[in-house]
Amino acid sequence: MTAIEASAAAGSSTFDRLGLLAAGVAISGLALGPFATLKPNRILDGAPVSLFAALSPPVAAAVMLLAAAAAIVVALRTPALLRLLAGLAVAAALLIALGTAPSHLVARDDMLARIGPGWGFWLAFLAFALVASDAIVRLRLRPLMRVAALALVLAGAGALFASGALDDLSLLKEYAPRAQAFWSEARTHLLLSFGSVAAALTLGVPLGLACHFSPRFEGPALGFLTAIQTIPSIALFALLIAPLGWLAANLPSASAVGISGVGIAPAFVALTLYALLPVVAGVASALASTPRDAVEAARASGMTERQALLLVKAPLAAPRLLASLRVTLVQTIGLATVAALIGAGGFGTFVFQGMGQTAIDLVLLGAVPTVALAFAASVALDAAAEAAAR
Amino acid sequence: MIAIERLSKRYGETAAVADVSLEIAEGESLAIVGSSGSGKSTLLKTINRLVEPSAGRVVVDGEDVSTVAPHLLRRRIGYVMQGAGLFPHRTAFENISTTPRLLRWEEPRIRARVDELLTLLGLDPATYGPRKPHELSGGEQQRVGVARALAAEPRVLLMDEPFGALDPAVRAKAQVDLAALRKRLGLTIVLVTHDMDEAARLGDRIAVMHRGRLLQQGTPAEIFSRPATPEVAALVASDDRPFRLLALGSVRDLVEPGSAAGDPVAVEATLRGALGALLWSRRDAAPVVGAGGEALGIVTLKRLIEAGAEPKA
Ligand SMILES: Nc1ncnc2c1ncn2[C@@H]1O[C@H](COP(=O)(O)OP(=O)(O)OP(=O)(O)O)[C@@H](O)[C@H]1O
Ligand SMILES: [Mg+2]
Repeated sequence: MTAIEASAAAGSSTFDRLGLLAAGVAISGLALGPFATLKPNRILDGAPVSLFAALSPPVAAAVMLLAAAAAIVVALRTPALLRLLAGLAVAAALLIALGTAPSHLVARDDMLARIGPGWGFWLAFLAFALVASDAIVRLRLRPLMRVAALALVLAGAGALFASGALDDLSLLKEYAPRAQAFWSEARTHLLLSFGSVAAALTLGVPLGLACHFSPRFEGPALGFLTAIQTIPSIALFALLIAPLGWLAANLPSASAVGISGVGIAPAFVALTLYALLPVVAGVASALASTPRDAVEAARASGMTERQALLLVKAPLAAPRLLASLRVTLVQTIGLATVAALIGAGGFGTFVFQGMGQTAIDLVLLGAVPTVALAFAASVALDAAAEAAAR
Repeated sequence: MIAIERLSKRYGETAAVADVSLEIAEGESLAIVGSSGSGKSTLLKTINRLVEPSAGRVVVDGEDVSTVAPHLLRRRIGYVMQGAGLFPHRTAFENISTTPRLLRWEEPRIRARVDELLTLLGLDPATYGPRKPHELSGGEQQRVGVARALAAEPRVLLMDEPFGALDPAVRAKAQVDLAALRKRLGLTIVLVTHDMDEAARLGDRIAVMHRGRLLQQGTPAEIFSRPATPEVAALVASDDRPFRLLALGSVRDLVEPGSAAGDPVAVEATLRGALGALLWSRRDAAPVVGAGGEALGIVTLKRLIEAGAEPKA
């Protein structure tokens, strides 16, 4: 073996490729990029502030030391649990440090100035978050443990926000005066997305079964639902305003239960219609994918069609069913933001208000929880699908 | 007793089965052979109504099967398919207990029956019962498949190329086990196979199909020695046809008086075995002994060679 080969072999066995890349990105982001941005008020452009300018010297030094130590840990081949802890520790430390930036940068009585993360912060934060999620994959956690890990991270993030350590950051300054509205929009968003997916399941599972048992029905049904899917969401919302408005005007009982041309009702209907295609197609294709042998054996063993469906097809199709439910739910959580346009509420309210005011932090106040919600739903259903496949 | 009466099955233009009549007696085993696509599986599946005939009918124990609800009919008839077709999400125990559970047997009875079958098929219940299909070898899966088919104590067993996916050694063992099982349980068996040797070994009678038609039925010796049509002849024609024929006969048929030197052959041995013994030891004749070792006469090379030749018209 030549010396070059020897060092190459040694290099590949001591370093972790992904970790090396992430460490490089994170450290250069912290050293070269702006750690924070400082805006004189909520709609003006921000000015970049470096790590050592944004934080008091001891805090900046501590962040740099911790990040450097963690970078070494993740760049080398280390146990997955250690990498997970390193990734989470740095991500949390970066947030906490960023939370100290406002008091260091602006005077107490300056109520207008806004401090948020700079791209240097984002690079480092996302790099370590990536390392942490990669470590979770490598740990090969059982599905239940993955959900538990998700709950722990969410609880940690919640505690961090509740502690007040981040209260001076721009995002939370947008939140503070709207705390009540935020939680009521959150409830609306949950109701819209989970409610319409539940409605789509109620309608879509029987339709999917009908497609499965009657191929003649399947073509037209899926064609119709695909056609709905191609209508742009805003157009579909608008299309529903007229008939529901008519319903509300002409049917006292409809307006009595809260149906009107604008607001929740058309949004709910539109989201349900969108969710129908993935549900129906998911049920039909998941059932069709069950091994033919197993289905023939079910019949030959003396099961009725119903027993074959419940005892053999459904359990074998469950992982695929849950996978398509995951896609549906994530899609609907995202799409529900658009519902704000017709006055249905939800996190989209902040997004569109923020866009109207060119206040990017307000847009983030709507977008960040939407993404977090979609991510959490995705992880939970992914774990459920894996548990069903065992 | 199973009677298939003038049965046809058409798929669009193709006649998968065309006007087939067959009878299978209580306790008999019938092997259905034929080239690929000749309608063997289709015919077999009309017996438990996995396929509904276009014309004709199937009568099992005096009852027209079309008058019985399919799921109830199938609970009385065992069915084994190629590659076992086990439910992948269920353990061997759960697979085997499928039909008894549908019949709402008591739990202790189910447990006893599954354990009995696993033991009968040479699988330790404690070891294999809790295993999922992917934790079993192909041969073990096949045995679990047979156990599942037998679980509800059916008197009729339908098998569609049950050993087709097994390698030759495992297959030979499975054939021996099935023959023993059949004797023990007194089963009526209808078996579809590609393999003429398997048909001869396991079938009391063989039915030969070609393009949906039944060309010939008869004992293996009849089929091998007097093929009724060129298609049957083509199916059984091969270099080792004489040996297949010899394998079907026993030394008892050819014993003649006399004496010979060297190792004796058993009167119950196959003619093929006796021929092999003579060829190997370069003898023209061997002494024949009974089960107790008593001398019964001799068997000669000349008669063995005649027995393997095409019968004179
Ligand atoms: N469900 C079906 N729909 C249409 N045609 C079919 C169907 N099942 C079988 N056939 C056709 O019927 C004919 C007989 O098929 P079958 O499966 O009975 O043959 P086979 O003798 O069992 O063949 P193999 O030895 O290959 O299993 C074939 O031509 C086949 O293509
Ligand atoms: Mg077949």
